[in-house]
Amino acid sequence: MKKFLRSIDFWDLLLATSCAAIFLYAAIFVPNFASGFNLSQLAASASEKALLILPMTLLIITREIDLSIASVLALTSVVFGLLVQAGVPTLAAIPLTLVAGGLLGAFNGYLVSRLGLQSLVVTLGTMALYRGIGYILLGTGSVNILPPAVVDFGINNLPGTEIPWTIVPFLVLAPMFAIVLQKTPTGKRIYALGGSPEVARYSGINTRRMVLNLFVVSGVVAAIAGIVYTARLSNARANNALGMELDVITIVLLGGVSVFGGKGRLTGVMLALVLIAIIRNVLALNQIGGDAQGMIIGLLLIGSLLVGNYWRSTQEMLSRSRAMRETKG
Amino acid sequence: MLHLGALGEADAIVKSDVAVPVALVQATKAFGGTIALKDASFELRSGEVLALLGENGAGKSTCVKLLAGVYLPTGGHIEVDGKPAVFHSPHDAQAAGISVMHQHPGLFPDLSVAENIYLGHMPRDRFGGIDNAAMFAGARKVLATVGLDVPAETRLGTLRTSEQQLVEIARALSLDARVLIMDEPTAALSQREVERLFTVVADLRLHGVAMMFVGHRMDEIFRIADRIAVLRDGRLIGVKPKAELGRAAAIGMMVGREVTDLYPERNHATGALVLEARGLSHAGGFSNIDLKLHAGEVLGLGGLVGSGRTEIARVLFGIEQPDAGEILIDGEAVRFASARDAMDARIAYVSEDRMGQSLVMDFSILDNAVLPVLDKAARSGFYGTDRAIDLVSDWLKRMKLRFSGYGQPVKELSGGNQQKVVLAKWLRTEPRVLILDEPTQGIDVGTKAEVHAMIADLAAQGMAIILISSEMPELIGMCDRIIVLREGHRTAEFARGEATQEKVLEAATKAGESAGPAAQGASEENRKGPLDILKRREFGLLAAMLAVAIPVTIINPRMVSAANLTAVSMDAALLVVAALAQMLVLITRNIDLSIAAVIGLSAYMAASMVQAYPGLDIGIGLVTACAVGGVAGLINGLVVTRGKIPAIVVTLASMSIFRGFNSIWAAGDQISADEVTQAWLDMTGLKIAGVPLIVVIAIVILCLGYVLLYRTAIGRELFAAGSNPDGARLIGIPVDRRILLAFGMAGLLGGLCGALWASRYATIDARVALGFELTVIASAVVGGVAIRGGSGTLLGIILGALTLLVIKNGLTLVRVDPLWLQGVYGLVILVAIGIDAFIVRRAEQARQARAR
Amino acid sequence: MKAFRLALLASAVLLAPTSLAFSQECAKEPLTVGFLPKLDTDPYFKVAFGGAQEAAKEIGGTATQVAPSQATAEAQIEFINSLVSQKVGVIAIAGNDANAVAPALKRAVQQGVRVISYDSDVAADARAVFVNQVKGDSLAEMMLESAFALSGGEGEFAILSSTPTATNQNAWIDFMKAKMAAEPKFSKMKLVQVAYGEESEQINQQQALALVQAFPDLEVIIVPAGIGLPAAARALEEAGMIGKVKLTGLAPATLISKYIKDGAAQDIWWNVTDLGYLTYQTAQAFAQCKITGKEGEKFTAGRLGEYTIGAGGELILGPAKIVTPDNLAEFKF
Repeated sequence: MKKFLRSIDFWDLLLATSCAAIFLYAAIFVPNFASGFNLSQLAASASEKALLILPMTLLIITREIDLSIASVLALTSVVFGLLVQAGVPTLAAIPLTLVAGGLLGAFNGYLVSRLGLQSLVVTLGTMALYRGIGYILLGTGSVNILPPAVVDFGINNLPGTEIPWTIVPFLVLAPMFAIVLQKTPTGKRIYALGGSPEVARYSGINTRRMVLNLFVVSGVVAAIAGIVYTARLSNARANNALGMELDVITIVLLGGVSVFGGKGRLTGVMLALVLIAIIRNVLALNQIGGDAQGMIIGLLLIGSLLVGNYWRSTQEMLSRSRAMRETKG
Repeated sequence: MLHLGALGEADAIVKSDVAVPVALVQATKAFGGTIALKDASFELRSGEVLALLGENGAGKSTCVKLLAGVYLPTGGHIEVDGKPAVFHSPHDAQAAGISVMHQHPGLFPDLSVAENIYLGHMPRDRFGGIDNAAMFAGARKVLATVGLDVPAETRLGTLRTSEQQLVEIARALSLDARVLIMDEPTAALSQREVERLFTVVADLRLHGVAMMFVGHRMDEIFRIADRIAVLRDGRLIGVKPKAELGRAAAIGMMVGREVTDLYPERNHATGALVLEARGLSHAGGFSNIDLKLHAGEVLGLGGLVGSGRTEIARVLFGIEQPDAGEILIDGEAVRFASARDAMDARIAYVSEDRMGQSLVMDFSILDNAVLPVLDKAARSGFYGTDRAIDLVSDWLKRMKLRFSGYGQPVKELSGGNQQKVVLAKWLRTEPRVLILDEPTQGIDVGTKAEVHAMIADLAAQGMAIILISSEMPELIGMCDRIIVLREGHRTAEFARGEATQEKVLEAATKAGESAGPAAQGASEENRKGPLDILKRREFGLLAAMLAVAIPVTIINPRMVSAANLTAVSMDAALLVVAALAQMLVLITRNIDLSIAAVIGLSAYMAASMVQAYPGLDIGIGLVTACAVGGVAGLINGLVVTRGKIPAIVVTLASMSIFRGFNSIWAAGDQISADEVTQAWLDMTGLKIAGVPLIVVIAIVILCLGYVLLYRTAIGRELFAAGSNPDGARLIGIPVDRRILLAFGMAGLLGGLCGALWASRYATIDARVALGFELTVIASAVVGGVAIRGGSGTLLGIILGALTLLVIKNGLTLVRVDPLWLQGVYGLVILVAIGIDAFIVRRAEQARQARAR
Repeated sequence: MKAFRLALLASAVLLAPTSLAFSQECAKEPLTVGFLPKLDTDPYFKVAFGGAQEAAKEIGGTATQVAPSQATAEAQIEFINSLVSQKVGVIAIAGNDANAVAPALKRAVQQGVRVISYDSDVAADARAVFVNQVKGDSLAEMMLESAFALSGGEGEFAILSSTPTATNQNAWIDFMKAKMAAEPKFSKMKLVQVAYGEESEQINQQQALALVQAFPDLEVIIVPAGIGLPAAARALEEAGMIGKVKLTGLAPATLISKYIKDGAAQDIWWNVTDLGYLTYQTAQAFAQCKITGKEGEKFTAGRLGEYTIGAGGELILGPAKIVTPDNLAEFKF
């Protein structure tokens, strides 16, 4: 029992408590919050962001970042739309789109891992580049005529439940990512790479290949998100998911992942996703618009990190004074 | 019993009639759970050298850092001139007349040698700016004193390790302090350079400077010291005049027992040849190295710090690839592309840099120890903690590791216990060849003996071991053979029994004369080096710009029409002001994502104030914008420095906060051109001799920026804070205050930019400059400002901003489909940073080649 | 009851795909109308909402307005769902993307919420009525005619649009191209470039100036985007080219009044307050089953008088006006 308690992270606990508290508050005091429709659509709306946080978490743990993730989403959405438009069967278009996403990620990864460029700068460039290619490919138009199966996937719920189909890719991938990160040697290596790239390199971890692979994963997951997005909005278009990268990064950082690398867990990030989604939903139900929501989320991010830092420094002070007492005694 | 010595010293402080500028009184220092120093008291006397002697980890560096003001004592205090004093920062210590040569130089690779010497105490001219003439003159003088023959303008990053150490010494001397503290200044120096330092010390002694010398080489200590203080395990064992203390006695006090039992008996036969290197070379590290290593043999690699020992190990372990020569295992040539390849060949490398390369400090003992053998801990693909513990517990137990649990973070362990984790980690890989790089550095005596016994034991079992060590006795006591290196060349080889400390040291430092011309040649190139790089970098941008501008002009001559140039220059003016703001933050190793939000907020506030008080137009507009921007910047800065939250997170959040605030405040209001006064619009639009006022304003701001960044001490400290934050703290630069200043200034400039924006574009709402931050960061990055901090030039950001705008403008002028703009834009950023990386890499290669 | 509703729904879908509202019960009294414009705190929609509130005061019921901070369909969908959860009676949406919000709107209808659109239409099968400021393509036609008049019927002109994916603007541009191809009247006019101002004063100014340099013979720039026209006017004014290259397009009259007074620009605009007012009236009439969205239905919209629904469920506010120094005072926005 004690071991179990210790294994729970302070940050996760804080996020889980906040989630529960806000959920309870909203369920009791905000009319219609706890309705099946609202919660179901809450989940559907978060489908793509939920997918994107998975690779972004891994990247930030390894001290990298992918600003181009939303642009990859847009470009793969365009590619998917064009493929479908050209009459490619859906079952062929999906893998082709995933390959496209993987290639886009690999290009990022190549620049970062082989040429040793900083990912912040590289993906700042590819963020503009990929979306730009989307505009070149699809111009001002959009693809709206999609196969019925894709459209159904985008709007329907799992039969007999209120769970939207669009969240299913996340529900499948999330445990896989969590298991890889927490329960496999690869996960341990990812943490080691983030904790200290040098130590990882000196311990026989192929750090370059790992970074490259992570960017490829990021591209592929962004492509999945691109297809989900296309299906959910019945729309393939170059300006899809504009600015979503910042939301995704905000969620990951609130989830307790440090930009200095090596710290953070997917559980925390997923709790942060839920927390932000609920807060935004509750605010919208109270007729508070997008700009004010952004402000509140920003304050929440800074506030929570300040509290976290204060907590840690208090902990350290306690342990120091304990050590002092012990040596004195 | 031994404690009495310390008390006796405390009494002596009172009785002594010699001037005592500074003393430690009952000083204690604890980090987290570990006590680094306990109840230490000693004094530094004028005209005297006190040598601080002790094993690694005995608390010497802690004493140095307490006196230097880097640490505050947890207990006890410091006395200055007999009065208790508190050093809150290195600056306070400097003010008390204490100057320090640090062990790991607190130097700044991006700044010039002269600036490195004078940072923190720059000579001022009568306007309060940096007196460059005086600084360079002073730098040349003090460089001559320490015998370093490089131009004072050279960028420090291009110097070799030993040259950098000499700059550190020059820096400490330039302070003309009455107390000089030297923390292992000789570790990387040649015999000749050491001699020069000792001449300087003798001179300072005559001038009544109180000095403290921390060192390892007994010869040096007994030559230079007047009194010797011995530390062991964080306690002061005693302080004795040199005459009263023989070498043997001193070592006895250091280790706390007889010296003879330090090194284990080793008399087994060596086996077959395991590893061989033939003509191994690596640019910037070593050249033409042959070595042979047999099973059961301990081969020593001796030499000064930076002599190429570690570089050889890195190549043998596959971290770096040799430029020439080959490595053979069991007689077969192998190529290691990575450490993994070397590990597969059963080579293990225990790095000298325990914190940087061996252990992830925040991670647990188990996670660290199991790192190289993770796959073995994952039966059926899933990592199991129990299995991992099974894997490593055996070796950890054999090491007699003292720990509270496998989950304990290694940072809570003492140095010796950390080293045990490292050794266990590597021995678990079951290596045939074990490379130990300074394995006993910074660990306590007991552990040291255990490590030595273990080395002997492993060799006896047939393991082939390479031992790299700066400690002569360790090399001589442990090794079957010793190869000595000097500046990357093999200078001698000694068999067991042949080697003495004198012989090894001579081989490591001899032929200082031959090093002379080489160094001369290097500095000759240095003189041109950094300028070339600068030229090339900015030249590249200029070329890129022309590559677009010339063809465009040929197709459409209106590219260079007055109207077009005016339009581009006005846009450039705004962008450059914002890019300067971003650069101020970037050079301190931070980033400001909120810059566009600040511009938007201040633009709206300024415009609405002008609208509300048309009588005060320009005045109130500018004041409002600057105030809003400045406050926003300070908020960012305070959260970053006080809250200890990374800037990218803070400004990501503050971006939405400022935007949201702006939006709520504006509530959908919009201010149009005819709701503000004409004077307000003329502030940017008016043309003076054909030049728009906004361009003039931007030029004035850039000039002020130039003065701040290049002509004031504070400006140089901004670069220093980003180039090497820890080093900057070490020499008393208030890094947090400088970062706060950078954010404040960036906010102020953002505010100003907002006012200019409001005046230039006239139509203002809450969404002004949305997304502009990416353009601003892009132009700074394209202009060569490093995200890692410390480097960047004004010319660079000007060219960066111009390049982006000219390309955008040029593409439209030649009627390229606007849909292509964004893609091309992204490509330009990628190409620019690619070229930048290429140039930096070439400069680095050139530097390494020179250093050879 | 449920089966009955389902049957109704099914027959509604079968019989009249454009009016899904059959499935809902008629409201007895004014309901809550949730306005969902393209963007939060956008001046244009704030003014329109002012009109809606005015109407709410007159006939009862409540008008609420929420919007995302990004002008994307994806962000808008969250707010559609939020309005559904709040159980508003009617959603009045100005779509960021005609098709992308359609699935969410259809889902809203299934949940018993009525949907109309205003300002920017959504897919016709996702709403019952579209309150359009101006009839169909007449805005595009007016802009083209205005450019024709300004240029004297011949010469080069360019369009400085909003974002490349802006639905309304793209439809107008397509219309203009088709019209020019079809009518010999415009044969001497040549559309040389479509540039994008990205809804930013800065980029609009940059692009306006660059267009003038890229096409030296440019006569007119059409700027069919809110903030673009005043920005372009200001840029040309500064460059001293405001008379040489003429401007026309859509912009809030107050933002461009200075240049209209100078005669340097033409502006086509409508009464934005009335647009909001009419939208609210329409929403309530629709909720109370006074109208269903079928062509030819009539209802009275308060102070604006009687309106008739046109083809495709389109309700026209009235003809747009060319803003002149004389009628400038009519426009509060």
